[in-house]
Amino acid sequence: MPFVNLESSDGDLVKVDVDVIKCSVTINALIEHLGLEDDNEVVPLQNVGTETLHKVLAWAKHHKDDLPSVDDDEDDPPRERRTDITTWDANFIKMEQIQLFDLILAANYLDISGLLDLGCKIVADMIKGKTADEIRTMFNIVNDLTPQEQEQIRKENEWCEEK
Amino acid sequence: MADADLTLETTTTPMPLRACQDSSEDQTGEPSSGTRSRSNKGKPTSLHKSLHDDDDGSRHPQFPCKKGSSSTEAKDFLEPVEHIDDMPASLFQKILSHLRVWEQSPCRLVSKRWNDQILNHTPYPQQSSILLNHERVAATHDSLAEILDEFDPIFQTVRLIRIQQHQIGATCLLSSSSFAENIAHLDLFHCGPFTWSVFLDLLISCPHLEELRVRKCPFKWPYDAEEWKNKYIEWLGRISKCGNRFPDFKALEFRVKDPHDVLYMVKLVSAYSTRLQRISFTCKTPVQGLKLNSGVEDLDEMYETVYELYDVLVEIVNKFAGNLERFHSYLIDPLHHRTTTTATTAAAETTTTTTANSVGFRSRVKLGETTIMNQFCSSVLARLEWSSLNLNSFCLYGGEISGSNIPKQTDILRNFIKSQANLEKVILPLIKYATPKEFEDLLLSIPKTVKCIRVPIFGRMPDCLSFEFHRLREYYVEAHGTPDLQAIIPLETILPNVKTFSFYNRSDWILHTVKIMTIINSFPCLTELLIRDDGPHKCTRIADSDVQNICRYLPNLKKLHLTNANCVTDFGFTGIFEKECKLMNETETYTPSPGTKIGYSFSALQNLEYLFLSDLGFRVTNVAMIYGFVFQNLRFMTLEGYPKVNDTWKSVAHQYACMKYMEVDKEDVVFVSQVTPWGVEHLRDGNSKLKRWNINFHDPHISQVVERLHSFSNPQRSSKPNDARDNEQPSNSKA
Repeated sequence: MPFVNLESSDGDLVKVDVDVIKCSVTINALIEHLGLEDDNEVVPLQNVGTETLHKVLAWAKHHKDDLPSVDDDEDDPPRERRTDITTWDANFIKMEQIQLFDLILAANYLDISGLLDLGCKIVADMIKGKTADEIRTMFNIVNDLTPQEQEQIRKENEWCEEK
Repeated sequence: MADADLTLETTTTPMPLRACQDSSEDQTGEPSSGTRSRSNKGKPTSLHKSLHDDDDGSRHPQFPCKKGSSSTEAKDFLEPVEHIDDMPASLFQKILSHLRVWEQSPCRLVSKRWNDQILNHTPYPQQSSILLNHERVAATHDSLAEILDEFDPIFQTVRLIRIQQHQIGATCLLSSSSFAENIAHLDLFHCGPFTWSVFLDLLISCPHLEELRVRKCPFKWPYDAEEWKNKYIEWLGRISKCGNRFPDFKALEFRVKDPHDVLYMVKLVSAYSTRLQRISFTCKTPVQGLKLNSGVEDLDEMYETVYELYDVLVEIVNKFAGNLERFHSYLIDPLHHRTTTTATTAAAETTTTTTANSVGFRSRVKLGETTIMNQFCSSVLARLEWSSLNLNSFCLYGGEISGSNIPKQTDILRNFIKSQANLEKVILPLIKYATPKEFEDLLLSIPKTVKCIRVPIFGRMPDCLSFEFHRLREYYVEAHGTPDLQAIIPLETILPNVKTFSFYNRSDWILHTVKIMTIINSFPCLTELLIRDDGPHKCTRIADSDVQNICRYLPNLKKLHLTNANCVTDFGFTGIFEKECKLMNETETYTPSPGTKIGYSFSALQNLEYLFLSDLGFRVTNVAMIYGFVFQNLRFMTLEGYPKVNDTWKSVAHQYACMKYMEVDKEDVVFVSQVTPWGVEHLRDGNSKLKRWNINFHDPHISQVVERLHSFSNPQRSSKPNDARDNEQPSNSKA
């Protein structure tokens, strides 16, 4: 099985089974395009730290045998994208906010849709059911809305309270 | 737009092509983000630039690929994202797309950037539902069309709220065919008024409609019976011309005031649907003085319409018998009709003679003379082919069976229910003056599969009921007349399966602690408890001990709805000695002395998500706000105070209240209470998850003001506006 060397932004080299990393559209395209055959070739991933890279690879390894997602099913348009998170994924994703954001960025950069979805979903779950105050505290955001704006938004939000 | 893209891309983190597209609306979101702490300006790299330039969709990123290891460039690259607002807009959108529309709305209050992001991106291709209200439509008039064009999203559910007819164009429902084509669920709420032709255009544009819900939407039509009929044929022709046959249509909820509209809607469905599964509709008794949207006041016309509607209903139910799962009706008896009981009874008797058999209904018996439910039973239910039906939900909301028709109508109802072997939910109408036997028979006819029932009870009930209550999950009781608790809950039964219990007291039966205790004991696993009393008698008495018992015995409650709580004091909500509460209020030091808390605090209901308390007395004070109303999970709260004050006060206070505080209904309400704005604020802080709250307590100053005014015995002087909310001491300025 061919391998590829990935270089993290911290300068660490990680040797990866091509089969594992094929979930990354970016790397896959790169390999196809450049035809990497030599095991010593290095792909620099300047956007991905070592820690994050290891996380990504752990995820990729676990999901390497997953069936490719069927997106273009004519009969059944993407109805609900909220498939449940598996226990493995739930445990995997337990991490600090910063790490999580990095992971999402990395997934986006490497174009790994499964991981990207997972990350976004987790952040969405963090937001879900919270009040604006809680969200601000959680993400350390400064409220820059004027009271008038807030009032306006509250008014507009009334619909969602209706049954 | 493209320019904006590029500049944005290079100043934010790199992203693959797929994401680049999404950020096209970012131009509004990005500049206003006041909270972005860092920018990555000046650090674009060849890598992500090359990714961008690759605009044609084919993915050949020009990776700088090197042999051997090198890390010289590494430091030069992007810092990691530490803050959510450092996320590129496209990723932020991706996160939002995992939230439903109503889950997004609180996020709008977070910050400007968030608000912009949400406003601009709700119609996201990955979302399957979209809500368009009038404000949103006005705001997104151009962008909506643009977004739809660009992303060609697939929305399966479209909800329209408060969209006026002239705004329909702006919703893109009529113009963008691919948008409307995918819609399976269309929900109109408080929209209109529509003319039928626009409404039809709307329907025609959604050929794959599965479910149509129309609630509280008036239709506008200059009424003329002939014109209606001609128009109807014209519509049918128009629909056929479009070639739309609505092959998927299977659910109709049409709750509109005017029977004509209901009639024609049901007719349309009957003509076009092939597999109707669920039907809900409204029907209103035509009475003198009822004005319809169509402008008709002619009773004869209305009766004709209602008869015809009944015919069509029978036809439609028999046609879709095998498919039909749900049959809900909302029958509305006009209010004044209900109060003239004797007249009704007398009229109903004459009715019986004319309708000796059900065929006789076609004679000129007017619906107004008897209740709509009676007629409904004899002219719809009696004519259905029960055996071919297999409903799982059969609800008759509103309406009552009354008069000497009871045995006959009850029989019809009973036989109908009996025939439905897989029924899960059944809502029975009120049967006025039913004998215990009739009631029991009806109850026993309910199939064993039923999980949710509503039984209206009236007067004496059978001594023992063999109905299998323990199967129930949801149990609604509506009490009228002088009911009997044993009928609702058999003695010494415990029903742990019941999760929802609702008692709606419209009787002159005094519901007090002993009975409430029985309820609590009988349903130990309740998650929803509703004890409502807005009937004419208001005989429900909720006392301190009831609240204490609820706290103690129903720890799983998620929803609590109590009215008539005017006997409850601070003690009931806090478990702190009343004297101590008083002392705390007097000294304004809200720390109870040790040993004074002897009961349960209301806050013990930690699972509570919904709380509604009305008619709270003036003995509920700030103490209760601080120690009683602190819930981790509470999302909806309504507290209303209706204390009783004596008449002289009332007139003064009422004038005052009318001027200042709120739109008080003419006679009933004076808000005076010991809860101060400070207490209310405390309440807000204590319940962090509160999404919607409605607290009608009033500034205690009002009572001072009232008192003072009263002592001046010159109520007229109070007519100067003086908002006690803004003004700390309005009474001083008066004096």
